[in-house]
Formats: sequence, C-alpha cells, structure tokens
Amino acid sequence: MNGGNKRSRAIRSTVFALVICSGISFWAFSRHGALSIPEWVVFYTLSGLLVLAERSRIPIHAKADMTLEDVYLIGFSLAYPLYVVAWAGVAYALSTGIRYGKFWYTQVANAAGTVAVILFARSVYGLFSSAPSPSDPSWAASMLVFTLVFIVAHMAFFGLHLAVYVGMRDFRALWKETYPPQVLLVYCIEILLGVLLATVLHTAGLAGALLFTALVMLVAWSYRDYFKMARHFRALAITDELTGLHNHRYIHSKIDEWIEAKSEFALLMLDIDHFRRYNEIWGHVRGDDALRAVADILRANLLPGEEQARVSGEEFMVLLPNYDLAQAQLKAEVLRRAIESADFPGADQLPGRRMTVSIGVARFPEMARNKKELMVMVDEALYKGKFTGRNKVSLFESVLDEMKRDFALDHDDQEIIKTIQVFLAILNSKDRYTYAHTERDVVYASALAERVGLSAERLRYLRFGAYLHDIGKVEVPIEVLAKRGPLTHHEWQIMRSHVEIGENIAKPIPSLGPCLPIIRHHHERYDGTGYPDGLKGDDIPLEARILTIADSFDAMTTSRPYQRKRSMEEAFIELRRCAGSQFDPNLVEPFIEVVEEIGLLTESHEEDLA
Amino acid sequence: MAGLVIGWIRKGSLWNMGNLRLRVLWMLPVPYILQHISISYFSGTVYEVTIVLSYVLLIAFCLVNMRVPGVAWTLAGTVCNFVALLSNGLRMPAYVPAIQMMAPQILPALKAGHYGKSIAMSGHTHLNFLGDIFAFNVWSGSLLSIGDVLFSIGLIVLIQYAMRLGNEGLANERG
Repeated sequence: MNGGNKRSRAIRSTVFALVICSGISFWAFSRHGALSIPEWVVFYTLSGLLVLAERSRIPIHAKADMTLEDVYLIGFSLAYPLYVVAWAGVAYALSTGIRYGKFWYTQVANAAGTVAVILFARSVYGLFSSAPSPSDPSWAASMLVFTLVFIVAHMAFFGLHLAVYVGMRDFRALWKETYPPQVLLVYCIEILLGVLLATVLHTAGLAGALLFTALVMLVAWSYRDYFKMARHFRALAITDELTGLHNHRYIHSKIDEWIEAKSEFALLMLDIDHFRRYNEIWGHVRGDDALRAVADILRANLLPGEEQARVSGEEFMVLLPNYDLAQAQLKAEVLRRAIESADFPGADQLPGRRMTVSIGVARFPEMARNKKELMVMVDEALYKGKFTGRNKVSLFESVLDEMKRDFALDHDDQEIIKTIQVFLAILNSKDRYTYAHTERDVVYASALAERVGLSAERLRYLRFGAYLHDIGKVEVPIEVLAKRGPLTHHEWQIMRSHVEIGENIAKPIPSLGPCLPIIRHHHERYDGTGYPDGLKGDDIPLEARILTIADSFDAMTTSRPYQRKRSMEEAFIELRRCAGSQFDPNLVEPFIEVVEEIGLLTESHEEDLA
Repeated sequence: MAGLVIGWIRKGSLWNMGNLRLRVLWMLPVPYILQHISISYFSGTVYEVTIVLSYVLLIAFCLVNMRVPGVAWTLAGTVCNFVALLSNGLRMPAYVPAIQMMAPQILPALKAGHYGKSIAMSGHTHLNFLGDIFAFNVWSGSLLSIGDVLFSIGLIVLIQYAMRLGNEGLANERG
C-alpha cells in the first residue's frame, strides 16, 4: 500500500470518528444540558468501567471475543438516563483512543460507534417499553426488539466502518473474517449480561456495578486461563517438538481436509539419506541438530498456503496446494538443492560426503482416489528414488502408467493392468528388494538394449517385460523369497515356477504379447541349462538375454540374505567368467561398458534404506 | 490494599518494593504532614499557604517521577483535587445528600462553615463535579472526589508495579 492511500485512509477514518463523537455529544446536549451530581457519579463510574473493560477482552470462542464495554453500555442504558450514558461513552472513546497512539481514530470510531449503536437500540426499545423490568409483560417482546436492533445496527455500523477504513475492495474478505457465525452467540451473551447488570443497578445502584464487575472479571480471569491452556495444548498437539514444524497428526488432518474438499494438491515426501548412519557416527544429539537444520531449510522455503510437517524420524512431508506435477517437482528440486548445498557439520563422513534428501512426489486427485492410495504413491516414489541412487526427486510413475498411455487399451485390459498393479503392490509389500531390483533392472536393461541397437519398438517392450519379469514372485511364499539358508529342492521348484506364473499373469492382455517371452525366458542360460525350457544360444530371445545379464548383475551387486554383495569389478569378473555359459558372450562387453558409464545404481549402505 | 493483592496475584513480592527507585522520595511525607497540620490547627492565611504548598509539593513530586507507572494517574488525581480546592477558596465541596447518608453527625458543622477541609456543596460552589461526591461505605464511611479515585488507581498501579520489579520476567521484558 502506498503512502497516499494510507494517508487518505487515515483522513477518512479520522473524519468518520469525529463525526460520530460530535454527533453523540450534540444529541446528548440537545437532550439535556448539565448533569446533576448523582449523574456525575454515574458518568464517572461508567466511563471508568468502560476504560477498564477496554483492556480485557473475554474469549468466548476461538474466533470471537466478547467485549465487556457492550455489556456495561447495555446495562447502564437500561438503568440510567441516556444522555449520561452518551457523555460517558464519548469520554471513554476519547480517553481510550490515546492508548492507540497514531491509530487513535480506529479506537475512537469503534468505541463511539458501539455507544451510538446501543443508544439507538435503547431508543427504539424505549418506544415499546416504558417499564424496563423483566416482570413487565411487554418486557420480553421489547427486549427481543432491542436485541434485533442492536445486532443489525452493530453489524451495519461496523460494516460501514470497515468500508470506510479499507475501502470496498477488501471489504468482503475482512467482513467474513470479522463476523464468523459465532459472533451471534457473543451478541446474545452480551445482551443477557447487560440485562442482568441493569437489574443489579436497579436494586443495588452503582455498588451493584462494582459487584458485577468483580464477578465478571474473576470469571473471565479463570476462563482465560482455560483458554490459554486449551490453546497451549492445541499448539502442542500439532507441533513437532524437536523441529518446531507441524507434526504427523496435523499434516494428516490437513490431507484429509483437502481431500474432503476435493481440492487439488501435490504431496512431497522427503527422507534424509543415510540418516541412520549419521546418527551412528555423530550421536543422536548431533542428529537432532541436523534434523533441526533441515527443518529450518524447509521453513525458509515455505510459501503461503503450503503446509509442512515432520512425520517421523527423518521424514518430512510438504503439501503444495494447486501445484501441478511439474511445479511440484520443481519445488522438490529447490528443496533438494537447498539441503544438498547447506553445510552440515560432519556430513563428509556420509557416503555422498554431503547431507542429502530423496524426495517422492505425488498428486491428488489424478494419482490416487483416496488418502491411502496417495500415501502409497508418494511412498513408492520416494523408495524408487532411494533405490536408484538417492539425492533425487522422483515421481511415482510406474511403467504401468506408461503402458496405459502407450497402448490403446480397452476396458478389460485396463482392468487387468489394475490387477497387475495390485500384484506389484503386493509384491512390493512382501519384498521391497524385488521391487527395487526391478526398477534397476529396467535401467540396466534399457541401457544395454540401446547400446546394442535395439529398435525403439522392441526397447519399449523390453522395458515393460523387465518391469514385469518378476511379477510371478507374487505367488511365491514370503518364507521362500526371504529365506536365508539354501533352498530345498521343493522350494527351488516353487521359486523357479515364478517365470511361468508371471507369464500367465500377463498373458490375458493382448498388447503385452511381445513381453511374454521376456518374462518366461529371463532365467534361461546361454548353454541351455536354464529354466523353464532349457533354450540354448540364439534360441533365447535377445530381450531375454539382455534382461538375464542385467538381472544377474544387479543380484550380484546387492546384498541378499543368502549372499555377500560384490563390488562392480568383482561382478565384471564374474560376468566375463560366465560369458558363454550363462550369458550371451556378445552382450557381456557392451554391458560392462554401459555400466561403467552410468555407474552402479546400488549404494554401499543398502541396509539403512529404511 | 488492592494494589498489594493484585501485585501478589501477579506473582510479585513485597520485598521487591525496595527495588523501586523514586526520586526525591524524602519529599513525599512533607505534603501529608503539612496538610494534616493545617487542617487540624491552622486557619486563615496560614491554612491557605500550607494547603497550597502541600499540593504544589505533591504535584512537583509526581512530575519528577512521571516515568514510573501509576504516577501519571496520581498526578491527574492531585491536579483535579487542587483545581476543585482553588476554585472554592481552598475548601472541598462535599455532596450533602451523601454526607447525610454516610455521616449525619458532621452535617451541622458543615452547614455552619466547614468541617476540616470540606464545605457543603451548593449552587454557589464551583466545579461541583470535582468535589467529594462518591460515597463509599467499605470500612468506615468515606466521601471521595474523582481526584481521590484517580489518585487511588495510580497508587494501585504503582504498588503492583513495585511488587513485580524484581521478577525475572519483567526484567526480560524491559531488557
């Protein structure tokens, strides 16, 4: 807002405030000239109480406070001559304005406006009831009139004030904020208390006002403590103590809220790489410092409307309202870089020599129908990043989505793809290794296929085939999949069956036809001793031969319960040794070349993935 | 009294009052002694001089210590009372019906001339709204002017401020 605008706002408001004050004074003066001594006492008491009350607002609701001034004005206006109330109101408005310094006119206008509204409502009430006592038969009806006039006039006046102060442009938003529905409750409490005060004034005089004040102040005081406590606990309940960000509970309720409202948003899941190792090396105290530092970086990058939280140990979540995937990826990349380039003491002991994060990205509603699916998606995306090198932003886009896009699939096929998706999810939950391994196989196999000049069409099927090649393992019991010791003959039978099962799962989809041999034959050996058909040499489809190398290489370079992992060089030696027996000798050297180019996708500390 | 109670509720302590720094504190008792003496024993010019002197001293004391919270209130109260006294020949107008209610035994003396510092309020006294018009019947009946009320408020603020002076929280707020 520029200076001129500000000044004109100040001038408008000042004029507004002065007009109301002089209006009330003029009205009071025309009603009655001088005050008698008892009226002076009332005047002093009321203005004193109003000034006192102005300092304490009583919280009624999280969104609405009650002001005692209204109560006093209502009570006194029902019990004493209106011109006394008017003078006291003006005195109060002017004297409290001083406390607001430069913005005195807002307080003066607010206070004088309240006085005017109540005087008006009381005057209207006076037309209906001459005996302001609850025992009077017409009392209830005229009180209702008073209430309605008060509420309407109050809202009208403050609407006018708001319009004068901020102008029509911002009026709507501010009006909504100033007048939540709970305000009606506040109005009713104020009027009832006012009536009570009037009754007390009738019977006990001004001493009654002091009694009333003492009572209300004490109640308000204890009430305020409860409110403070409630606010404190509320803050505790949604704050992560360590980092000061929000916590798991908060972000999840936000996600629920947004999904409920059907708003579109992107979700980022951040996980600090090798954090367990950092904790092991430097201790948990330094680990906590690092978490705080990461949280500070996130906080520094928070834009209005976005939400973030630490959801567990070293995992953070960021909600991005209305971001599309590209924007969300960009944001994630910004965060990743910010963390990568920040200095963390002792991070040089980490595998990457830096503190880094992997970030998974997902979006509602395209990628998921509900929260559970969304969480699965973002988790998969994150783990995809974790399994393929870390320190990267990954999107959960499964090869299956690509299939959906690439092939004109009819409805039945769509259903089958969904089934396959479920199988993959089950497989993933059974054995994270297999899933990650699949992702890497796709990368290795496509690299090799490109190197040996496979056509784009066949490359695509190879990718799908590689993606689906272990899908049959979904039928293999988890005890067999994750068994530490050597497998028994029977268990081997089961394990070997996965290639046929996989083929059967994919078979019903005509467009996946070209993938079937890849799935079926990826365990064949070049010398003809593999399974299931014992094909030999070039009888094995080229795609299957490519996948066999990629698959075996990845198996060698990852640690499994039953085998020690090998270094890249050891794996190369093994590949060369088996060229001609297990592998196609013409593919081994090209494969070694491409791997040397893209590097090892697995890292040295597989075990602290979690 | 109220100052002490509020100060205690707000976690103050009587011992902290020693930390309060008021300038020319020694001056404070002088006006009170002067007033007491003049009301009890003096009359005529001597009465007038001592009363004026005592108020001037009190106002000077408040002005010197203006920055201390509450003192502004006591100053306002003192000035109100002083103005009321000045405009009524250094006597305080008291509201007759209130006196009748609180202490009817002094009414004849008041009607005849004055009782202590007070005179009866009438159409001839000036600035009646600054006179003794508040009737409090708390301990013993007493009649107060708006100046007295302001003065008491200032005292309450001052006392509770003084009681909280040594508190850590307050020190931080100020530091």
